[in-house]
Amino acid sequence: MHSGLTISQADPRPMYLQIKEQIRHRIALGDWKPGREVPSIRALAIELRVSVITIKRAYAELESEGVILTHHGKGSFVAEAEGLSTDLQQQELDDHLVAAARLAKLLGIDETELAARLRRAERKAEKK
Amino acid sequence: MSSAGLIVEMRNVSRRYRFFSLQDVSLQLAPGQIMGLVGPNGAGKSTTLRILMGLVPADTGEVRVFGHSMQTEQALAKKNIGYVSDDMRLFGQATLEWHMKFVASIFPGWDPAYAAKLLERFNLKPAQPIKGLSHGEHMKALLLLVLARRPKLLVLDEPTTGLDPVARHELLTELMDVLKDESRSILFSSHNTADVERISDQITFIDRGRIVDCNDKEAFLENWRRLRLDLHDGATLPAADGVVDVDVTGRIATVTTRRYAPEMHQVYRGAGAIVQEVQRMTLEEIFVATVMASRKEPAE
Amino acid sequence: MSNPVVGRLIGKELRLNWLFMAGVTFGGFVSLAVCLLGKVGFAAGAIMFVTALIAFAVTLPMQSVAGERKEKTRLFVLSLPISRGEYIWAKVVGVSLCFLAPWTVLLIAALAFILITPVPDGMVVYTTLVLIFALTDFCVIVCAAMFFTSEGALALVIIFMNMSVTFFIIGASALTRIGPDSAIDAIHWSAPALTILGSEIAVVVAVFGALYWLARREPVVI
Repeated sequence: MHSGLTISQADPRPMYLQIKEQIRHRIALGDWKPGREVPSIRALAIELRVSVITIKRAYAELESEGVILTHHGKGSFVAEAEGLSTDLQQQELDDHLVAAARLAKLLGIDETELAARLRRAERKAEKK
Repeated sequence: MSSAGLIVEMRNVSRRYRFFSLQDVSLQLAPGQIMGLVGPNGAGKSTTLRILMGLVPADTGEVRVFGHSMQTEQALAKKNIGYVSDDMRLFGQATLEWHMKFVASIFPGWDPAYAAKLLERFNLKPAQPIKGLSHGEHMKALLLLVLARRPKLLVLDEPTTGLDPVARHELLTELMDVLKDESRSILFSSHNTADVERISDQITFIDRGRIVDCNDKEAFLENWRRLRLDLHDGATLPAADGVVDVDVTGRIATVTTRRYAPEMHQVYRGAGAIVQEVQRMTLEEIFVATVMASRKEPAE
Repeated sequence: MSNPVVGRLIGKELRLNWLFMAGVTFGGFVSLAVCLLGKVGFAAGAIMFVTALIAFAVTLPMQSVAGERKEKTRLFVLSLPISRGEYIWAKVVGVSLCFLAPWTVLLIAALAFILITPVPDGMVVYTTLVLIFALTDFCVIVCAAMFFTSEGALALVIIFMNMSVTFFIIGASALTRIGPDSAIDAIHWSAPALTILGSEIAVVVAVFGALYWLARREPVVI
């Protein structure tokens, strides 16, 4: 099956992380539904032209995080955990917030101002 | 891994030349793996691969491919090996088509349908005489001739040198395609560390005739880090296991380590050095750092 | 040497060199035709004939054997399922067949020419010796081309062999007193002639024997 994932060589993040993030994102979006079969490690390696060992690592970590499940001999599937999609979306939100907090610290912006800017951002998002 | 099942096994191989010697080279390749061999010019990559193929005998040590000793059974082993080196040449007066027929008559595994597809993908014309081909086209012709017979092992010496980006993309696609069959393996040498970083499972570094490191790719990428530290007054960096280079300029220190562990932050803080940034390293940076470090060590 | 790939390589050798072989054969026949044009024609034709064969004996191994190393085509052939020794033997046999085919044709043609035309039949002995010398020349150069890595050394061997051709032609003629100046109309194998013949054949056999023995020792040829 064609996964549609891509590896960017311009992206400074390691390949296995890019793969993990893209898989999580597709699950979060609802594109890859719980129980759906995901490409085999080998097939994905061939499609992305990336070593098998990198895909193995991404899948191993996703499995330990409960995002996918591998049935030996049958293949890998998106975990059937309830609310997995929402959980992953929550995680994405948290990741964004941590990144924002880090930037704020660098710029010397304090908690109150950060909160004010968040409210402004919420309003902007609503308009769209 | 036990010897049984290894596709390639080189053990303590040495060979002496007048101005160069390969020393104590050991290499192992399991089925279904891709190994990248990286080294500067003159490091011994080509020599290693030639010894692997039995073209040159080793002075000491053992070379086995598919369990066959290359010293005594190389013809048998070569039935399943496809070897391409960038200094290899086909017969100039003959055409590519002649070569395809010639190779097909020797190897029962030749797949004419796949060969036709490769002609298309590599944009080659079978009726063209070899002497009229550019370096890149000649390289593609050599690769076509090995790929179309679907050998169990591909040994490629600098396969991407001289190829334009499109041809490289096509080649990498074909090489990865080889992996569809879990029993097939690839061993290739390359200057192009980006390609090696991307598709290799195992990576071996070679410099000045010696193997300087060998590990699986993710291990390399995970263990090597470059740390940037701020040194507060009077701080001296404590020695740490695995550090291969330290550069101190004013109050900033750059530490390159092959065994990164989060505990290092605390150790350094205790000595008055605060870690500001932890950088991952590309395979190229890792390779250069490895070679520089090994050259600093006194020769055994 | 029972590897079928060896057979394929020998076939390849013949296919890649057939034009060269045909050209030399044609040149040889032309030379024989020139020999029919009176006394001067005979001398000229004879020289042309020998020159063609000697040139072939030199350039064929240069191109086919030394050329393969220089052009790194050897690497391609060695990537096939053969051992180093089998490669050497396939090459030796292949290139020798490429030489022997025209050589045999021209030997027969030259001898027939002598027997059919008014040329004294005694020339048969001398001609045979000269032609076998060309074969000996070829063998020596094949050896050098296979194993010498220095182009200079190979060139020296060729120059030496070329010089020895002249030496042989005159020397053999003097030794056996049956050279082109002789007018005996009968085939007579004198003792000196037989000695020369024996030595030449011995050299050819020795060279091939040595090459076979060397091949079995799987030397490095790249």
